[in-house]
Parts: sequence; C-alpha cells; structure tokens
Amino acid sequence: MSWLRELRARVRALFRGGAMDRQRAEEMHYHLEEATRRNMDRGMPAEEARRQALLSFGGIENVKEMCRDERGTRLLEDLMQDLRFGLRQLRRNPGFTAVAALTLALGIGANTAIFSVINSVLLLPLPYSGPERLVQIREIDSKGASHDASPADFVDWRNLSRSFEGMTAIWGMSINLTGGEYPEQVLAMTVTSDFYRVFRAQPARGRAFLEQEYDAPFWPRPDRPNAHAIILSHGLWQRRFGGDPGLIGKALTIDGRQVTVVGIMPADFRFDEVPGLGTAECWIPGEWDENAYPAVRQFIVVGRLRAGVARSQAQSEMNVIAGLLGKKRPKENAGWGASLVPLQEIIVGPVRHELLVLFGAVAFVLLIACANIANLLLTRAVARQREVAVRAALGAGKLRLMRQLLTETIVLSISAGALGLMLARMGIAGLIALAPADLPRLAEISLDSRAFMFTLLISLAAGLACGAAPALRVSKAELANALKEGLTTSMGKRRRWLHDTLAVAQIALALMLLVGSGLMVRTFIRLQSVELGFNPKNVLTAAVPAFRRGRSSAEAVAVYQRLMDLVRTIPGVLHAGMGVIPLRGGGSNLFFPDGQGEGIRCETDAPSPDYFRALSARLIAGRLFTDQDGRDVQAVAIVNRTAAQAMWPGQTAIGKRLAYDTDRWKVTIVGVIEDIRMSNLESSPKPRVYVPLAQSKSTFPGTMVVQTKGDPLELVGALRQALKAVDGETPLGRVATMEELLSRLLAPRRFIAALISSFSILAFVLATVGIYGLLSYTTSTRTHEFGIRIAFGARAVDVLQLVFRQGLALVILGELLGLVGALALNQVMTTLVWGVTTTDPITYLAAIGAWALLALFACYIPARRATRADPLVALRCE
Amino acid sequence: MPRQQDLLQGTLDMLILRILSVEPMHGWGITQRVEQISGEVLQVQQGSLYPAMERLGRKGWVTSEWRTTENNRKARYYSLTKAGRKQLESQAKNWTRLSAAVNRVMQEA
Repeated sequence: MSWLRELRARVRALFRGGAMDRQRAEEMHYHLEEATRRNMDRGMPAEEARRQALLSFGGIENVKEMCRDERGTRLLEDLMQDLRFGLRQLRRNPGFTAVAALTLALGIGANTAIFSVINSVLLLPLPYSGPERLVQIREIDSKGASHDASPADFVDWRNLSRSFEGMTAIWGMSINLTGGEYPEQVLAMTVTSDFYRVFRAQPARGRAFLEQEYDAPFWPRPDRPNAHAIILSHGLWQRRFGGDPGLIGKALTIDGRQVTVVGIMPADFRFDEVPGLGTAECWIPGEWDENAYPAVRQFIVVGRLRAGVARSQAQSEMNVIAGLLGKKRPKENAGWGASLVPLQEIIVGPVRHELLVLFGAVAFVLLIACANIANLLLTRAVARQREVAVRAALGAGKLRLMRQLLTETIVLSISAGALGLMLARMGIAGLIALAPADLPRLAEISLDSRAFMFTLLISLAAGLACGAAPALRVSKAELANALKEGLTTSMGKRRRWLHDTLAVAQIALALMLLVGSGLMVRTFIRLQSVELGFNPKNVLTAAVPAFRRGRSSAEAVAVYQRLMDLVRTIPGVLHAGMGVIPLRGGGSNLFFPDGQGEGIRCETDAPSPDYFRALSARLIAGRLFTDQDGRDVQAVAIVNRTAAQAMWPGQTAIGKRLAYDTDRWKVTIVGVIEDIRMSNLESSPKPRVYVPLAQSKSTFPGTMVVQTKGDPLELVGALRQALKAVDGETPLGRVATMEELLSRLLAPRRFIAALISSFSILAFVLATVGIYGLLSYTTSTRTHEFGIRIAFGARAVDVLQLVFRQGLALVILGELLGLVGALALNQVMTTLVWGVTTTDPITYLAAIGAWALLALFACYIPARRATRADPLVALRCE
Repeated sequence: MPRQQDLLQGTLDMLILRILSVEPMHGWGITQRVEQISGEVLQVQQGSLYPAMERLGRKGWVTSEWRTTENNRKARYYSLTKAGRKQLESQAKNWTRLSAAVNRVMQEA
C-alpha cells in the first residue's frame, strides 16, 4: 500500500514540518563543511574554499524551498502560512481592518438577514408532512379571475377525481365561546372528513373526528354549524382552559349549543398561513352534499396529490371534471374551470416579489461595500508594492503572491462574515418586529444552517471580489521598477482606471437604490396623505356578534340598541355607534336610483345614529340619522359622495328615492356623507348606501366604533362589562383601535419602504466614504504635482478645479449609468409603488441632486487639502 | 575534464538507491560517490539531491538516522528500506532494458 505509506508521510510532514526543516538545514550545513574541507584539501585558501562550496551548492534557501515542495504538503503549508501572514497583516493595520471588516460586515449582515427571511418564507417547505404534494384547488371564471370554491363543486370534485389521496374543504368563521367569566369570540375552521388525512396531522390528545361526526351537516346555513364535536388548538387550550388535561370529553357552549371537546392538536401544528382563513383556534367537522351553495365560492379546498401523480396530470383531470360540472350546473358553472396551485405558492406567492426586490437591494449594498474594500485594497497594494517586489525577488512566484493577497482578503471577509452573522441576528429580531403581522410564516423566520452556508458563501465571494483587483495588479506589477524607484509617487492614468471604474459603479448602484427607496417613500407619503374620511384618533373598534341560532334579527338589533345606550353613559366615551369598521370591508347590494334603470352595485351598511359622529365623518349635505329614524316612520338613507355622484351626477341627492334590488324596498336620501375608506387606501372609494339600523331589513353590522376622550384601550374593560350586562352570551371580539387597524394596513409598505430606505442610506454612506477615500488618496499622491504647480504660480482655485474635475467626472458618469440602470429596472417597482409612476421625475431628480451635493462635499475636503500643498515640501520629497 | 552532465530526475533517484544499496550514506557522501564512480562525468547538484532525498523518504524507499562519522561529526545517514530495495530492482531492470535498446538503435540504425 504505497499510497498509504505516502499519505502517512505527508501527514507527518504536515505536523512536523518545522523539525524536518531544521534537520534538513543541519544536514546541508554538514554538506557545506565537507565541501569546504575538500576544497581546502585541494589547496584553496579557507575563504575561497568556502565561497566555492557555497557557489556549487546553489541558493541554500532555494534548496530548502525545493525540499519543502517535495514534501507534498505545500498547498496546506502555504495556506497556513498565508493565513498566519494575513492575520498578522490585519493586526498590524487595526484601523484599516476595523473599517474594512465593519463595512463588509454591514453588507454581509444585511444580506444574511434578508436571506433568512427569504429562506424561511419562500424556500423552506411548509411545516406539514409531504408539503410538496399539497395543492389548493381554485375556481377560474370565464374572465380568468381566480376564486375560492363552492361546497357543491368541492363534493363533485372529490367524487369524480382519482388524482388525490384526499381533498378537504375549509371555511373559517367566528364562533362565540360561552361559559367562563366572559364569553369569547374565536375563529373556527369547519373542515370536511379528509382534513386530517390531507394535512397528515393528528390531535396530540384525544382523538380525531369520527365519521358520523362529519355527518351532522351544515345545512341549511353554512355559518350556523350543527356540529357536536370540536377539536381545539394547543394555543386556545392553554389560553382559555389553562391546559386542563381533563378537558377532553367535556362540553363547551358554542353559539348556545353543547359541543364536546374530542381532541387537542399538537403545539407545533400551525394552520394560520392560508390566505383567507386567518388564525384558526379550533376545528369543527361538517360535510356537504352536491347541492350545497353552488354559487357561494368562499371555501378553501386543499387536496393532497397521490404519490406518483404529477400536478399536470391532476390538472388535466380537473379540467375534464370542470367541463362536466359546466354541463351539470350550467347556471353556476358554465365557463368555469378549476386550477391547481401548490399550497406553498398560495401562501408565499403574494410576497415573493417584494422579498426578492429587498434581496436585490441588499445585494447592491454588498456590492458597494465590496467596491469600497477593493478600492482600499488597491491603494494599499500600491503602498505595498515594495514589499511585494521584495517577496518576488526572494523567489515567490506570481501565483503564489496572488494567492497570498487573496488569502489575506478572504481572512478579512470571513471575519467580516462572522461579525455580519451577529449583526444579522440582531437584524432579524428587528425585521420580525417591523414586519407586517400578516407576512406569511413570520414565526418561522430564523437563522438556520442554510443561512449559515449562505453567509459563508457570500463572505468568500465578497473576499474574492474585493481581492481580485489588487491580486491581478500584482500579476502585472513591474516589480523591478517598484524596487528601483523605492517610493511610487503619483498614479498614472492607466493605473487609475480600475479605481475609477469601481467608484463609478458605486455611484451608479447607490443612485439606483436611492431612486428605488425614493419611490417607496413617495408611495408611503402619498398613502398617508390619502383622505380617510374619518378620524382614527381615539377610536376603539370591536366585534359584537349578537346574532345566533334561535335569535331573531329584531332581538339582535334590540341588543345593539341597549348596548349603545349603556356605552354612551360610560365616562370617557364621547360617541358610540354600531356599524361596519372602516378599512375592514363589508357586503354589497344592487340599488336602483329612483327605482328604475340599471342597478348600481353599492356597499351597504346599517349603522346606529352615532356611528358617523364616532368616526368624525364629514356630512356634505342633509342630515345624519337620529333616534327618530325608527321602524314606523319614513324609510331613509344616507349615501356617500361617490354614490351620490354615480346616481345623480350634477344634482343634489337629497330627497331622491332609491330601491333595493331584492324587494324594491324604497328609501329616501336624507344625507350625503364624505367617502370613508372602507377597504384599503389604494383603490378609490366605492359607492355606499347607509340605512338606519332601526329600519334595516337584511343588512346588520356586527361591529361597533367608540370614540373616547383618552386612550381608548383603557375602556375595554368597561365595554366588556356593559356588553355582559346587556347580553351575557355575546362576546366582545377583535378589539382594536382604529389607529392600530390603519397601521396594520400600512405595515407591508412601511416594511419595504423602511428596509429599502435603510439599505439605500447605508449604500449612500458607503459610496460617499468610498468616493471621499479615493479622492483623498489620489490627491495625496499628487501633492508633489500640486506643489510644483503652485510653485509655478497656480492659484488655489486652479488646484481646486483640478481635483473637482476628477471627482465630478466620476459622479456624472456614475449618475448617468445609475439613471440608465434605474430606468431599466423601473418595471420591478411597478407593483410596489402607488400614486407615483415608476419613472417619477421628482424622485429621480431628487436622487440625482442629493448625490451631486454629497459628491461635491466628498470632493471638497480633499480639494481643499490639495490647495495647501507646500511647494517646498513637495520639492524636498524628491 | 569531460563535460559534467545533469541527471534526469528518475535517473538520479535510481543512482541514489543504487549507492545506498551498498551501505547507508549521508548526502555529501552520495554526491562524492556518484562523481567518483562516474569518473566525474556525472555531478549531482545539491539543489537536486536534497529534494530527491525528501521525495524518496516520502515514498518510503529510504529512511534516515543521525550518526557520527569517522571524523566524529554528526551526519544524517540514509539507508534503503525493503520497499526501496524492490524499487531499485525494478528500476535497474528497466534501465538495463532501456539502455540496451537505445544502444542497439545507435549501433544498428
């Protein structure tokens, strides 16, 4: 086994290299002595004998090197040596090292943090077993728009398809949990029999639902479950029941019915990611039949593909089935298709673009940081030319020298990576705090092994990128000249192009980032200046789900009216009204102005009289509702500005008549109210019709708004007590201040705007420092030249101009390139901006102007210094 | 004096092994012995000898130990290992075949 023997020898050599070198040196020493002795024997004088011996031996150091080469541990030994040398170099220049490491660490840390988010949100599989086979099945209308599914279609899909191991229809809804000190509103998920098979999950305690438990149908109303059994989430079990192990088998009162707890899900079973479902805290069984609500497309259908069945196969099967259903139920299904979308895509798809844009932005920051370090290293390489030349003269090959320089920068970048990892840890905590609460998989974000690998890789890449330029320079360096000249004074034009290219690239990248963040900030400002139509200050919102099985709407309305009367008496309450909470959407109806023509679809609400006062909504014409607008007087309505303009353009709406589509119930308009933003800030307000709660026949709000004198959250307890006094069975749900809701709505954009802005500020600072450093350096190498110029009568202004010309050329070129880049990339921002175009001239001009100002400043200091060049000093340098 | 010839690497290894097959020897001794026996035609460059010793040691063909010379100096003596002896045999066989072949061509062509 000769290779084994050889390997052993190499390993020994690796650890005993020093001892082996010593032995070899001793041996050669002996050799030389013998040779000298022989020469003396031949009659040479002692001096000459030794000289001849040395001559015939050749360079001792060279021979030693060749022996080391032969040892076969060269590569590793060199690496160790380079590492030691690199560390020593870095220690010797603590200032340079600190600046460079910190610069790179900021770039790397930011990248690692954003990568962790992307990794956890976009890349990691969903936390279910076999997640890649989970698909959501959505219905596609004839225009190509995607909808949730109807229960009837779900039942037919399940019966007719062969591609799925299981398929389940899920519907989220609020239920009232009574018993305990206060009733509580919780989100429940009604699921069909395959749910636990599809998600491959089982309760940690108790059991799954039995077949017969699914048989209790939801009929006749989907929102009034008939279920007898319930499974709780770990969270709800802990929160409301203190983790009571005896809860299994006990009955809870849900919406006035007795329901038995049969199981509790494991703590790690999370099911709050699917858009449209919210964070469910319990599961209720229920099945459907093929006649159930064929037009109600509000159910989330998730299927698990059978092993070996490709998604495309399943899709073809579903296409056929959708065709069949179009014939079976032409009224609801003609022209409709079904589409399979991977569940992962459904969950993370909506945020992918935003996250990738962030990733791109943060990559720019790292590139700028690398350019900074590369320029620093380049200038240092000039200063180190002598050192490099000496090494080359002593026998170091060019490759060897390049490798050594690269090792040095990689040592630097890996240390920066370690520091960056720490920064990223802090950054991720900040990111999570800043991230919108509905960012999918937010809770899963962490630094995992993949993020570590990523950090290592980009650290290496950054090291190589920074080190490449100086290393290449070595390979071209005219070493003999470097030794001869001793001190290189000024940089030639040829040598400067690399510096200049890096600087121009920095400026261009930073400008692109600045434009991007400028657009985001402008968007954010535009959104914040949107006329809300209400004043969110000191307004509390809450759900009051008083409707339940066996209670008439008149009884529920009576509860609301008593509640409002009571709440009004609470000290600190200014106004309280039932009504749909702004920014949270609502239902709609067809209305016929003057009872004729084509109907106009309007959102509908039935607020109590003080609703508009609680929101400080502005009345444009007519009057608000009063307590006199009761059941037996004239039916009245208030419309918003958009509805008034849509129905009676150019006329006053007051006194006009309006009819509902269903029963042609006619109402008279008594007021026009300013548009209130009901769903989001981006889309223009929709027409909206308000009727008094007391007169409403089909529309009832389940929520209230309360305007308070001070902090609205202080009154939550009092409100809860008031509700208990009015109706002990109805919980106060989803308590939030109006300002919270507004902030939540803005959170995604705030998140991206804040991140891109901080990245671009970072980039800006780095690039400015880079330009400043470069100009300072080139100016300092031209001190001599400036001195001579001044000696020959150049004025300070002339010298200033010289430096400025160099700086401005860089800035202008960089800005031009950045402008081109930003324009080329403007499509990326299309979905991110609102209220400004992606080529918004103001943003572009501001970015260019800001850069120009900063660049001038960066030029000024070195230029100023140049004017003080002392001709005497400059000439003495020679 | 005839021109001194540099040795091909593989040849040098073989010569070293051959010389060590007689008795253990230090580096200086090896160069002297090669020069003597070859009638000063072959000269071993020190720059080749020591890297060669390193190489032969790595391959496990020679080992070394420090001993005292006849004039009471410490020197590093190399000796052939079993594997080295085998290597010498096969290299010598090769060499005989090769040189005979070259000779034939030179004479008969």
